[in-house]
Amino acid sequence: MLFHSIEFFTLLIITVILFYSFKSKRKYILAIANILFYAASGFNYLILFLIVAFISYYAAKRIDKRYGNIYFYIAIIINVTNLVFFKYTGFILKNMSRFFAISFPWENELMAKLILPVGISFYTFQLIAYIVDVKRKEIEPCDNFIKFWVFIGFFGQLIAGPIMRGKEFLPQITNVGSSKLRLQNFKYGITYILMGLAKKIIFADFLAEKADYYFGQINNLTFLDGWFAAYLFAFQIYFDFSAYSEIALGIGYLFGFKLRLNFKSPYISGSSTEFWRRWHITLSSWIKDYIYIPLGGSRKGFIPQLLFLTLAMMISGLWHGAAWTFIIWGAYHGLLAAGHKVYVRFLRKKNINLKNNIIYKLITIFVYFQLTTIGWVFFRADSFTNAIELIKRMLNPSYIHYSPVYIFYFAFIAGLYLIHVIEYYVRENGVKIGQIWEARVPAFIRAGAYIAILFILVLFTKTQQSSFIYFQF
Amino acid sequence: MKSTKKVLIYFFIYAVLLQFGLKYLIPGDIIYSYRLKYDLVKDRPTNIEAVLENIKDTIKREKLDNYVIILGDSVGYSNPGPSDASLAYYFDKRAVEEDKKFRTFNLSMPAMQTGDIYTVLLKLKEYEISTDHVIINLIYSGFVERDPTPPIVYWLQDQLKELDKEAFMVARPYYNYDKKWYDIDFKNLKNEVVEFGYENISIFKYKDYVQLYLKNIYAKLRSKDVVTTVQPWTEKSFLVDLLQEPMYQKQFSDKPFVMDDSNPNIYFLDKIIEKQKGKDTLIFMAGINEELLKNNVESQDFQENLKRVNRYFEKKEVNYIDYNGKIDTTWFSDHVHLTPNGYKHLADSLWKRISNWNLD
Repeated sequence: MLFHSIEFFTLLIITVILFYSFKSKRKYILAIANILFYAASGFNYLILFLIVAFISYYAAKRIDKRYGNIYFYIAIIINVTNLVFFKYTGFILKNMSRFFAISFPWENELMAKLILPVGISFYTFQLIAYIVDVKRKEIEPCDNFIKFWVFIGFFGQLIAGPIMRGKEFLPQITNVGSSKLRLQNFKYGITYILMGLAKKIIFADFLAEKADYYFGQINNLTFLDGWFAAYLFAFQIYFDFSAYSEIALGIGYLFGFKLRLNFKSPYISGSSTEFWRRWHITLSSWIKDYIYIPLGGSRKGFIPQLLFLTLAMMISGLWHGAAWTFIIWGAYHGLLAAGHKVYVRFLRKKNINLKNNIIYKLITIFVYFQLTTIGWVFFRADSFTNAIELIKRMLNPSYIHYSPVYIFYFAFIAGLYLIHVIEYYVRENGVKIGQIWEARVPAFIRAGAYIAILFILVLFTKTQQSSFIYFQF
Repeated sequence: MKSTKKVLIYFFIYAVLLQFGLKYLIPGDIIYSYRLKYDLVKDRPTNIEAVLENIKDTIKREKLDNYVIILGDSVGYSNPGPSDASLAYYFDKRAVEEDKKFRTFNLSMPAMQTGDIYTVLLKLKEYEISTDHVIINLIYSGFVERDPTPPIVYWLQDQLKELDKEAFMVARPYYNYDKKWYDIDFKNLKNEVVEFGYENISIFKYKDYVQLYLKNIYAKLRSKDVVTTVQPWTEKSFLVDLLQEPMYQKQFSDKPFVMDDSNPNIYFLDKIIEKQKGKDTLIFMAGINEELLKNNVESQDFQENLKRVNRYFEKKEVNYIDYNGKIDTTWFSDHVHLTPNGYKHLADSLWKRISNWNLD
């Protein structure tokens, strides 16, 4: 069920009405909404999800009791196996065939039957985080399965995050019965939903068409075409994914929940560290808390730290998709992060402090944006060979063929970047801008702006709804 | 709170203004220009609503008492030429030249079947647009047995379902219903909600036309004018082989036509004729390029089928003309469609045929 579909809006409106009409039944209403939402993608997968969720819930309750460790490992193994089986079986079999010359005659038949359950990567990570947090005694195990089901299957963020933690979300669900209908929450909710829809419908879907066109003919691209294609995808994936996260945030507000913001204008980052604090924030912090730090983090020396960093990023890449291109994308970011650590260490050793130098900051933003863009080629290309071919064309000056039309193309990219910067400014000053908007702008202009937004959204909505990129993960 | 209420009131006022005023912001020729916009109606058949509303407004604005409606498939639509080389264009031009105050509205559309034509007649009634003077084009393949494609209502299935359930039930077996039991009701309900929106809410109803308007402005800014050139069939050497393919040969099958209402084409023709009783109706069978499809046309059974159709119409209260053998082969752009010059000749011929209609 896509966010920009009539089914979803029907479900959302009915759930909101029931939620505020029956205060004492709110958890049940949300639990049923979650079931309906997930059932739309396949009844069998709903059952699977419910079973995995119940095992995790039950195991977490037993963790501080006798055989607690066994329950802990069983829960982790079941979650990981569920994810690996559905997401990586094909990848594993293919690579075993390739590297060990083993053939699996039943492979094609199995793969034809194996469909990736929607949101499996997200709910698995959320479940693992919950079980580990209970084990670490950072949270108390949830005492009620309905509450747990609302937490793990909240239909606003189930399919593509943000990956919520128990300590953030469970207390909000516990208090859901006492939350009041607040106009401010509705305003925030609708603003985020409209912002997300605008990003998806106006920008992401439009850019997708163009990016697909270029990535579909990599061997014909010139130097400038290559960069143009990579920039298009960089913005497409940003608008697409942040759109989903913002709609999720907006839905959360409608029920009085505060979900975590997943994106904070990532392309204004001047380094890898900053980028991962702005891009898919909840995944980055998950990788840090449940992979990087348990591996050893910075506790075991500088060189191991760099290795852990790269390994953690490779796992992050593999989480995105069962293909070598994703692993390489992760490794690439791991190397960028490691490289940044080395660079910072070098600057510190030499007592060079450039933190407050604006020009330096702008240069780092420019450079890191180009590096990120190159990384997206691995993420988007259909194969490793294609990715390398495109990067070769993007870096080899012999592919430069200038035509005045590129001025228009790159002005378009600059325009997208400007929108990105404006979004950053608006987000940073959101409260102030909101106050000015409400206090100084006459009601008839505000209403005009809202109707214009609605009209533009309808105008840009495509007949065939396109899915969100991250739904495949 | 007070300010929010004010915003909501203004929002409501703007929404009402948009609902009733949006159509006046879009130039009429974006919606209809001598024929409907095939690409838009093809992709979203509910877009025909805006066309009908535009025609209704034109009739009202120009205080038209007499007008001709053309219904049919790609021949009536005048493919592959541009709209200013189409039947309605030539009719309107001729009306101006002869100082006659009437207009022609062409609602033909490529691939339209008799079930669609019947549905458009029902839609015209819904919009209170007169069907006193109607020209309908048919083609030979319309009578050929369906297996079950092409469906007898190709474009306007949902519209027919709404306007004539009984006829819809007859047409229904010709759709491929590959749905699970639980899909049907939910998807139908969803479909109906979506269609209601696209038929009645202006921002949806005119959405595709606003997009087209904006695209045209953008194309003009970039000085991109699309010029349609139509080549005669003699310059398309590939046609000979192409038309031998089973998909095309099926359309010219010489298997005897079933001329009772077990043939859905006859069922809908009967309904059309019944509906047009007492009104001026001219039905014409599009001609086939006899040189290009010599083997098919020369078949005795093929000719016998044409005679069967002739005999069918002889018994009916409509004017019927079969253009087979009456069109100069140099006017064809392929096996059935014409060049702009061909359509001009066809328009002239039809003009003569309707000269006895009281259209002054």
